[in-house]
Amino acid sequence: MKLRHLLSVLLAATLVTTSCSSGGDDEAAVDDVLGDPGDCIVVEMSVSSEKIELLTDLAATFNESENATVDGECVFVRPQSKASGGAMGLLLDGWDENTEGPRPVIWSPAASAWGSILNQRLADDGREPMVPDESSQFMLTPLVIAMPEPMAQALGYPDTPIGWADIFALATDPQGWASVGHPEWGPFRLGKTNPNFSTSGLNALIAQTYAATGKTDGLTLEDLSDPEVQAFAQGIESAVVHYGDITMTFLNNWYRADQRGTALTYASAVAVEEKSVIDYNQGNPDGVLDPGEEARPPEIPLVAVYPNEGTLYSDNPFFILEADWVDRQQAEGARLFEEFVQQPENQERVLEFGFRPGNPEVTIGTPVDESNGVDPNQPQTLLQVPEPPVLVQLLENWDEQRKEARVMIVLDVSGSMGEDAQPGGGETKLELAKQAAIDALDEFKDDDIVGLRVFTDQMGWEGNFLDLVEPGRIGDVREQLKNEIRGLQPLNGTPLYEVSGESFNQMVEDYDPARINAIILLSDGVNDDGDRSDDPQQYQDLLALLEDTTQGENSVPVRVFPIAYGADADLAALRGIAEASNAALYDASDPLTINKVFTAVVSNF
Amino acid sequence: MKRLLALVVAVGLVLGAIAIRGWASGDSGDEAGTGNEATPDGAITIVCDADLEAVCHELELSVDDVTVRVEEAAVTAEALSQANTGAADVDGWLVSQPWPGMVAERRDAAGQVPVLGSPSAALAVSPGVMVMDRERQRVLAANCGGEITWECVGEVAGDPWPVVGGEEAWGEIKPGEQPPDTSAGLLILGQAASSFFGTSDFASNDFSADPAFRPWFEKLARSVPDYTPPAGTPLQQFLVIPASYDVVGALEAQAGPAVASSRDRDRLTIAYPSPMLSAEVVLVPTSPAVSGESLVERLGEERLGEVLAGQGWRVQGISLAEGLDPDIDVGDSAPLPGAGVLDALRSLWIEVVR
Repeated sequence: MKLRHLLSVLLAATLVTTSCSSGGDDEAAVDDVLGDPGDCIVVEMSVSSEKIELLTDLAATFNESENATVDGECVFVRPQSKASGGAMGLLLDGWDENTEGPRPVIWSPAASAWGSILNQRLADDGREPMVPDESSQFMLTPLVIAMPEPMAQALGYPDTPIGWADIFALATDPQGWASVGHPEWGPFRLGKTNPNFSTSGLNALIAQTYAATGKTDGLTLEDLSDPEVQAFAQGIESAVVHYGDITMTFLNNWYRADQRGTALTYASAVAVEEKSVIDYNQGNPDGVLDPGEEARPPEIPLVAVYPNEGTLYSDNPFFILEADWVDRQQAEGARLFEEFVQQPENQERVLEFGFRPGNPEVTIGTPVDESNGVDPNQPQTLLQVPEPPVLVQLLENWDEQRKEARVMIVLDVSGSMGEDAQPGGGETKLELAKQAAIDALDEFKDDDIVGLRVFTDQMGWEGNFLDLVEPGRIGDVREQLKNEIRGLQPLNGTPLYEVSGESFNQMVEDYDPARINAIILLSDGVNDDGDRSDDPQQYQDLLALLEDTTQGENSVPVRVFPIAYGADADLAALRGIAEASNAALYDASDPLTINKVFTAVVSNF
Repeated sequence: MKRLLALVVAVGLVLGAIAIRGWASGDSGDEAGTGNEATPDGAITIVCDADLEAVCHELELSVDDVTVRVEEAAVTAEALSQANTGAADVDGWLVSQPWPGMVAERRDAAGQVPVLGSPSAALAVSPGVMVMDRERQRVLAANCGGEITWECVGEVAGDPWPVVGGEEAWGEIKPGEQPPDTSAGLLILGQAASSFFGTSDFASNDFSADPAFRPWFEKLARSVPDYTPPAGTPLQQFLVIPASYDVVGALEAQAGPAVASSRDRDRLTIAYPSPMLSAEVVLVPTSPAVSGESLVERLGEERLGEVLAGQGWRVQGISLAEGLDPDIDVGDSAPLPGAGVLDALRSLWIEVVR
């Protein structure tokens, strides 16, 4: 994947995250909290989502303070949430204020590496850098390997250092956990996010590559072409459960599995930020407590393994951009806010969110402590972020080394898919979904196996579905898939449960343990097979089938990733299907987001 | 109103850019080459080395009609070395020795007339130190025969810690040094080379005369991790992320107060490696017709001393800032290597690292 392609994917991923999870709400919430800037000097800020709440609070306090003045004029800091890679893409390709909100004066991605990549890309285009040479670090959290405590103990935790080499050994041992005396835990299962989308995924990829070389800095292109380094990477990837755009998918699934008593067979280890381990152990796996939700610690806590080969930090830098839209007063106002957030009383607040303070004068205390499975005295060594050309090559190599997938795309072609995507006409939902599916096919690796199934009822097909393309190597069938998708027409009802179950059974029957096995299930409506009376029973039977098959010691992990498409999709039912198979629901309630959502779904493979 | 302000700002920025261009090219329009006459009561502009940024901003706030500009000493030195006559837009340079001496030697070698006036007497002093984690310091000291020197650090830099008896999880032995573009960076490099030669009285031809020097120097220089983009100096990075370096070179003025207020102060130790070399802050006029003492008088000697002492520098007659060891006698410092020698050492660093 070329860097430009990577950036567009990152951008898409960001927008998906923003539109599907909380981004839109964030912006509304920010305006509610901060109010009207009036005639003040406005310092727009783009921040990664994990710190939007904290920085909005701090901005509100700062904006009211006497220190928020430049040249006698008041300063008004206004953060907005944008995921790191997405903001980088916007800064690189042109930030459209009409669709993306105001251009930032301060950019605070999750990690400094994003700034390096931005400047490199600008330089490649013959443009001036935007990110300054130096920056302050607002708050930090290291990348760790999260493991259920009993599993880590089986590897010698906490006395024996554990690292990527141990992961490699377990991942490539045919006996899996039996090799260390725990056959009941089955094979070693690793959770890693897609490095094209996620800072954690990118840092994990860098860290495992350093581990393969024995270095802690100076990773080179020659290192990447070393057959031993490549074999190490493939060994690690072979244990991956699935990828994905955000670590929350793993943590939420792990937590649900814990509640069912199957945490040890869902995943053995997941590469996440240290703060996620804290959130998980506090009973808040995704770091967000919804209204009425109560944090309940898991039965089996996670522990943070700091890889003995070294790790990297998400350091949340404050970049005061050197851009033509930033004037002197805004830059000065930004510096005032930067100083404000570094004040000890404000830095202590980052601890509330499980981060380490960027101000070295502020003690790292609760909750970054042993009671939450983390160690403030770790990590013991820091890895250097590779030079941008090495990073790009690393990502290209990963595209070849990542675990192959076996995926069935199941598309709803019911009559409702023929409705307009937006009130007032334009393209239909099916037309938008077709284009999104066609575009997403390019994200698959050539050796992935992909098939296409469509479903509706009253067509006289066997089972209310039709296999338009039998599963095959996508490098051979990509054009066939695209042609079939282009030809789809909206037809009759939505036999969602029946087709979900039958598709799942077929994938289980053809399960390939060497691949990620999954179904992408797109539907825009509720189950409608002509008989509503048995819907509840059908649904319960479906969930039981999914849970019984995908969970536990002898599970056959086929994941179902539903896309809830359009406002009438049965979000609750689809979420249940996702959770029952330890996958994730993707919300495309706004049909215009389907392209980005499809890209995010395919990031799991 | 905002538009008017924006216009004023824009004009100011343009004029500033023109002034800087004039500095760099030497196109000051000051044909006589006498620079500005520093008048005791007039407004003055001081260019400060980046390591003295906090000192200068405090001066700007507390002394009337003083404007400061902060940049790395190497940038100022380069501009002054190439200027045809003088620097029209600044009156003085607050920096540590031997940077002014390096400018003088470069100009002399190029057959150019002097551009700097006589420096003030040393306003403040700060020795070069090492900051380390206590446990790693103990392990390394045992390997170094009891006392850690830069010579010893250079010998093992980049090696895995188990080679010297440390833990595998500590990774490689990572020295942390600022690039030799500032007061601290150049002093620590000079201290390291002095450690290797066993004296600060060495010459640039010793770099090749001693066949062991170059490999030692390359090992040291190339083992300094390059965290990009940097979050401040290696010391600042180390205090935020202790795992980033193992042995950090810095001025005592930087390290003493910062370590004393650090959350990790109980785990950290400051060592004064041998030979002791100290940075001396001077104020240098950017015109040969002006004396450094007159600029000091304009800024207020007492005020200058207070500000420097408040930022961790040792100033005679003023009590030490928190974190500075009162038992250290900077009078024991070895003389600095010659300005030209340090300039050559810096060039060698650039050749090896960049």
